[in-house]
Amino acid sequence: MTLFRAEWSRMGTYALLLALAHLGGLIFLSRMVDLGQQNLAVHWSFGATYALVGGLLGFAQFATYARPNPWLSLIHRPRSELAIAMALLGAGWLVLVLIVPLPIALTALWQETLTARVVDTRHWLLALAAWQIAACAYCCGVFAALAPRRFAAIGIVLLFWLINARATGGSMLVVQCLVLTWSAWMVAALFKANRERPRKLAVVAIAMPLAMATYFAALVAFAAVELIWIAWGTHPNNGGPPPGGHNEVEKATSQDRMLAALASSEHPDAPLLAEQVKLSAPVSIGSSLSRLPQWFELANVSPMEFDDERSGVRYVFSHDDGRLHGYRIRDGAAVGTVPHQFQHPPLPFGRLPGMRDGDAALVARGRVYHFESESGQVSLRVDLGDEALVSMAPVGEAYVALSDRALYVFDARPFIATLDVVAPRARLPLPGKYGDLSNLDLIELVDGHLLVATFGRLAHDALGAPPYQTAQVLRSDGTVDDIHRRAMSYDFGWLYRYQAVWLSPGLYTLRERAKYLFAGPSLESTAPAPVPHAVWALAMVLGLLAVLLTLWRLHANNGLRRWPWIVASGLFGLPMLIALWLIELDSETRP
Amino acid sequence: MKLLIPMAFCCLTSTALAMPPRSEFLARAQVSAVTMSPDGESVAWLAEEGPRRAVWLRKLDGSAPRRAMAHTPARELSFTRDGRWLLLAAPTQVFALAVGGQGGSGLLTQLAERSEWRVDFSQDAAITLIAPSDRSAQRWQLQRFAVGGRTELLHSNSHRISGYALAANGQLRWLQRVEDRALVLYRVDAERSMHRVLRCGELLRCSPVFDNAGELILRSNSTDGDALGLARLVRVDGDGKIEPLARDPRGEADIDFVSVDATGRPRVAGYRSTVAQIAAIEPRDRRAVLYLQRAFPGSALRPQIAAARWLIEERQSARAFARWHLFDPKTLRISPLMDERSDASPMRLLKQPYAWTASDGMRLHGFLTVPAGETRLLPLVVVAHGGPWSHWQPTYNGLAQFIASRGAVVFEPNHRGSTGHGHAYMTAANGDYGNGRVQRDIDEGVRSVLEGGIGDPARVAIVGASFGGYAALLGVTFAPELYRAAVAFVPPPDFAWTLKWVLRNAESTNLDSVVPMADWLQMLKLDVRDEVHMARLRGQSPLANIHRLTRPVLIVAGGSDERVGIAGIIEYAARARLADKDVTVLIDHDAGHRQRDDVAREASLYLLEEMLHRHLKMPMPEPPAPHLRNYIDTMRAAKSELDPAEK
Repeated sequence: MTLFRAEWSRMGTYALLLALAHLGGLIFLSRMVDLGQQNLAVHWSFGATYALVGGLLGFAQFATYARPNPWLSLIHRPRSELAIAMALLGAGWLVLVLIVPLPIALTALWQETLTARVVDTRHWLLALAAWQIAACAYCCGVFAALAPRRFAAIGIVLLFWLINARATGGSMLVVQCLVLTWSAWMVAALFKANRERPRKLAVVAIAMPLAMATYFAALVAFAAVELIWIAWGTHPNNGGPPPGGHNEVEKATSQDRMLAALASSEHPDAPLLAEQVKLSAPVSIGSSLSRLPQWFELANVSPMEFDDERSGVRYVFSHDDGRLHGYRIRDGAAVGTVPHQFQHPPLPFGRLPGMRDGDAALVARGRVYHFESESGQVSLRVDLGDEALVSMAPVGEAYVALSDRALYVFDARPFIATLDVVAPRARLPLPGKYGDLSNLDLIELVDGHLLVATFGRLAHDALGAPPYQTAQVLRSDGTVDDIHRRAMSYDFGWLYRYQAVWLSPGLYTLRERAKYLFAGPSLESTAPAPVPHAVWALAMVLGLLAVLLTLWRLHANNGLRRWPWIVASGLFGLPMLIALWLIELDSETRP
Repeated sequence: MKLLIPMAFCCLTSTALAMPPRSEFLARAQVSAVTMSPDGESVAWLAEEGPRRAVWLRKLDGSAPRRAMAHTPARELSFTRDGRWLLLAAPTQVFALAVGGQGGSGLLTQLAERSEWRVDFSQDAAITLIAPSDRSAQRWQLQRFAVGGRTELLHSNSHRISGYALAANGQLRWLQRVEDRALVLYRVDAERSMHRVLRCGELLRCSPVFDNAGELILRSNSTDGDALGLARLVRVDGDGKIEPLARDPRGEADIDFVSVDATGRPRVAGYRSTVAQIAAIEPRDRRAVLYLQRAFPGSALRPQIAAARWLIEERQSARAFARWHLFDPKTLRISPLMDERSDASPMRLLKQPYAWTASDGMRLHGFLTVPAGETRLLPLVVVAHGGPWSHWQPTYNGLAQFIASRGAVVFEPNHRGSTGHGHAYMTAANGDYGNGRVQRDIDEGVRSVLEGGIGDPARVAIVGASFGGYAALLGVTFAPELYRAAVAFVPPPDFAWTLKWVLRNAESTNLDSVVPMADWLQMLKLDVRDEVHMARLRGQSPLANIHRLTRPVLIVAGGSDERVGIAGIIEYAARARLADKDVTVLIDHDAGHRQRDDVAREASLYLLEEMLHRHLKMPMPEPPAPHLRNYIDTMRAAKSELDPAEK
């Protein structure tokens, strides 16, 4: 407790100043914008700032103890090492409570009590999330101060996990909690007199991030080689891409993509369709959403608000009651709640035919709603069931909607003439996985639409499907004519595409699993091609090499110490071998 | 065919002129919505001033005109009955502008889609408005909006309100509703009870115009007592007894407009289907109307009747711009008020009505514009009208004047199915809009003209926009012995598909009448749900018969055409290219059904000239300026030997 108090008094003044600065910043920003409705990028910026503050605090706090003499005087107290560690870490975490979540909570309290802005439970939880991020980084900073320089920076791997995790809301808090636990475990592993060697069982806490960091470093090195390759001028992305490949199609205009899909077709209609493409101005349907909004998510895919400019009211969605709450833009006074309760969180989403001034379209997963300014009512206009609508755009005079599973064609008239749910005139199931879709181009025909889908978004990566194009005619009566399916060639060899796999299949799998841990539905689903045998063969050779080198490296150790490393090297390959090397390096230098 | 016009026709209509430049035909009117106050002491108008539209006001006491508002979205102007407010109507709102020295200008009401408004002649300063109560249009309302903010609900009903007439005290006296696709007229008594008076069946109109102390003046095209079903004015008493009031003296035209006085009473009827004429409805105006007809022979007049004087709008078939005059009906004095383009050189090629008898015996109407020269040796260009539910009038037609100015006889046929000549004329097409009865009307009209010694049979072309373009494609596909070339602006190459297409789209809501477009098409025997009929139309379409095409075709289209799907034109062009047909297509992907850009409009005229020069041996056009050449090169979609620049 004395140590805790001493630490608190050492950092208290700075912490108070930082907390005031943080509170001032939040108040200033809240005067200008509704911080609760900012998008993911803004949240990331705040998270990065909190991580930086936490990391620097941890490093600065422990750097003073990390020299040999202060460390010995710290560690040799009549208390257990872990109790000392908890006193120091506890003081640091408490300081972070003062700096990070307290100003956030005070700002939320102000917004909740003195403004008409929406403050949901998720906004209160942001304070906890911010603290967990700062605390994780704090532990990583502490680890960096205590660990030998050769692996002091590996905490960054855990912070990357936070950035890449697809979990949201409460699930993300659990992921953060896991990361915090792991980072604290890393600190505990070294919180002992000899910081060169981790505690025996806790070596896992350092070995896994270290192996992952080595794995990432190797991938970064590959990327650096690729940059040199690009600078050299022989990379497939230099100048004109290789003919027949997916890069060529992705860099082409919509018209050329469609012509490429038809060029080798033997369908009797193909020449006529190609002529029509040449004369048309094709429309490319892009995705308006990269991620789907989730209930009680802490951040926002994009701001969950829209302005009714006709009446000067801003409507904000509340996750707590599933309704839109309005306040006047001019003076911020509340104007009430729209009665409709949404089944999924809605986002503003372009415009529908027949909308008047002030009206807004809202998409909530597979449903599109029409907010009518004049009546203040919300009407369901499109219902695609459990599919996720990602884009809706006019094509000629019709409207085309793209979901994660199909493309729909709607007539414009029913949107204008009624307020009922509008049934699509035709549906075309996507001839592939949405996550692989790189382009969807179409033109209107006399009796329907010609659609060319290009699947090759991740063709450069192990996750992607083999690149191909499909040309289909979706008739007005809903029938589909398959005109052509054209396989495109890879622009990169398997060695390049599967570098993340053959380097370490185990770490690759772990990385992907960690990314989607506790995550909700995703738009990133792909249909990966089977991994080539050559990749497996290379991975096995590298794994075997790692095992042999581990055996050689640990030939002097007994079985109990040796076998876990051998198994780990077998599972995770060369990166784990390097981790072993770095952790065990001191044994070579010891007399 | 019977020869219906004299051989010396040319001598009556034209004098030799130098070929005016294309730019003469691109000028737009800068003045519109000229309107006179009820007391006849003021005139207001809208003036295009660069990108803005301004409201101008002029007191007729010798004062100079003044700009009353520098910027307005309004397209129509009307004075209230007391003349103290000028109502500025835009598509989405009506604004009341104080012009009597008082304050209080402001928005009078918003206008929802499908709403209709007009000045309430029973009140000093008010309008009446028919509008759906909400977007779903489950209920319709007739409301009165007084300037100053008072609103009064006159009637509300689940049936669509399509017409009404108010008593002099402002009470609702007559109401017309849409019931089962028919218009039903009710008399409303003092207790607001409604008594059914008339039912006007499919495609028949019976629009209330004015309540004359309990007797209704109605605009009707009923075929009861009028075999042609010409639109005319009738009197209806409370029991539904009908008496004729005003009908085209020539017995061939619908009423085009009715001029009313400050109380809303109809005073003058106007007819513009064959010969432009006006006729007094009441004996007190006969002398004045007769005088006006004599003072402006051949002109299309439209009077606005005020207490002190009349405002006369004058339009000539050979002049692009209107002129406005003041007329004192007591002294018969006419004084010029405004002439927007007094410096503009008139085309002087007057349009004359022309009638012919179709092979089934039906009498059909149209117009001829004949330039100077030996009429037998002149090229003949048919200009088919769009719609097809519209008609050529004896007023200025820029396209016809342009072609005539290049030395060709221009024939503007009003084939059956056209409006303006009565209900029977319009419905006589019986849905036969393929290579059938309607197209035969046009072809027979052309042969009639040629047999009359007008035009060189070896130099005939057909031109048109929208449905007129479709007729041009049909003509050149199925009658290549008659037409040497076709020029089609925004044409639907497959009329059946275009109807289906437009019915699915937003544009159909603009084409809805008091009944939805699909319903009125069905009444016109064009039921898009009738697959057999649609298949027949499709089978007769230019698109399905492109293999028969042997003559050159020029198509100018808009890629953003909201009324004629560009996909049809593109497929037509693609099929033509694969079949190696002489079809040139120009697509402006930013243009809609109406081309508003001056460069694009001039390009259309240039390409038309070029086409007529090449295939009808008409004069070579003035070479295009570089910007015009650049536009044409950029927009050309399907190339052919048409343009010398292609060689």
